[in-house]
Amino acid sequence: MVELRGVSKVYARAVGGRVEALLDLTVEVKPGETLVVSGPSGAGKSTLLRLVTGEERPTRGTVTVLDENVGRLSRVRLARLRRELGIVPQGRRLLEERTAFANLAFVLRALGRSRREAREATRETLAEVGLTERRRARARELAEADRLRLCLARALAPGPRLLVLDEPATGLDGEALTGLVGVLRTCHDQGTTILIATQAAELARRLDARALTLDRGRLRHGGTD
Amino acid sequence: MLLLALAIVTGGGAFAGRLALAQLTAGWRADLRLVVTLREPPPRPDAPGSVVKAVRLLPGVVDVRYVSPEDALGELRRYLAGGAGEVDGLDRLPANPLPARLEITPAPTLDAAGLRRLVETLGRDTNVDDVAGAFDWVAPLERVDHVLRLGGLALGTLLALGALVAIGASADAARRIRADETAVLRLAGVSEARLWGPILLLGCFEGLVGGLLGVACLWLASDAGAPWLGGWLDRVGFGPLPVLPGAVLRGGIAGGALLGLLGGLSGGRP
Repeated sequence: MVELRGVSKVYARAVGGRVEALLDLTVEVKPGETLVVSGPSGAGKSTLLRLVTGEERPTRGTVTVLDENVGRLSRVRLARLRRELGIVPQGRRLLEERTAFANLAFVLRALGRSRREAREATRETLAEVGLTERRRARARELAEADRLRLCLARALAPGPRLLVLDEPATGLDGEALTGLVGVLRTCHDQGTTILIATQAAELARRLDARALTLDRGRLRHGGTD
Repeated sequence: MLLLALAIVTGGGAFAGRLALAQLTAGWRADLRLVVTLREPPPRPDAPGSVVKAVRLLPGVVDVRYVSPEDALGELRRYLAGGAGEVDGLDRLPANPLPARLEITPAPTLDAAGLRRLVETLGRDTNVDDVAGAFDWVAPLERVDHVLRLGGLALGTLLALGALVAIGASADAARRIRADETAVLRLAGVSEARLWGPILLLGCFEGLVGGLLGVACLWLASDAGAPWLGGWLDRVGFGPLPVLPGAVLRGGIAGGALLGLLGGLSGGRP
């Protein structure tokens, strides 16, 4: 499903010099598997996820997602690939002035669903993540846990084969975290492959998922040799 | 949109001005003749015939008419008779004082410089005594035409460039306003065409409206407004107002839309 082979990512610093965000990383995620990548801030977790979603290209090595070499995809083919992914980015990227319902329906309409289909799918997905009551609230009015739910709903609504979540546990209290684990377990049970980057290492244990640890761009534990 | 409309009005107006000028001068050019007075007596008996043949071969000459001294006298007699002048006096002259002449019709496309060159060439012929022609008006009108052409083109281009920058800025603003939406949609896998489409359509729409506005102004002035404007122009000696060809009007609209599309593109990829 996802394979990173010998992947390095190096950024040039504006003031000169360079930052090695990832170094010779080899990781595989099998279909239906849940993988939690943990590590401290600056370990390279988000970089890894951005390489998988095609927001970044590797400096060296290959990133294969759903049999596509992401680093070499054209914009058109990358867009096609992303329709198979559900992405929950760090910072959530919600349309703050739109309601929860509109945030979801807008994306589905842009993906080509009819007005009726989009409305139905939005209603169902908001119910799945427990946001039906707050569907008329603007995104900026939502609590952090609800913002995550909305973002998760947006990622799940098109029915992705691979779910990619960047720091989903940030800002969540115990109850909200339990809700998140519940939703992710349901996705896993339905066969969705899940890739999570988080500083909350206990998320892997709560999801019974395979875990690997990154530190300063290198694999410390749990990778594929 | 207004800048674009103004650009089209300027360009189209200059074009219409040149058409009007061409209409005005077409009659004058048709009547323009160069009169070549031949030397009397001719250096050789066959001189008139050979001169006519040589002049016919000169570039820029459409027609040559030979008027013998006898024909010239006859024309003068008829002219004086028509004007109730003193015809009898001609009969009392000891000899025909009028020389043979050539009336040359220059090509209507010949410009002032070409006419001057033709006069110089004719003047160098040893059989020719004098060359005359009332074509002093050609050069000033050519300058007016030149100013209309270059001025219209330069001002129209300048205004069109201004319109392009304005539409580009408008597309850029639309891109910035939609930046959050674009980021969300791009992550969701929405195609680039769908992300860029609305911005390009906006540019196209602005260009199309500007083009339509400009063409409407031109049409109002040249076609719908002809009964009023034409009458006024007629009084100042400009004759009827020229009707702009449909291709020019269609070109104005299509050009506006194209310029709008370019403006949208110049706004940058979302």
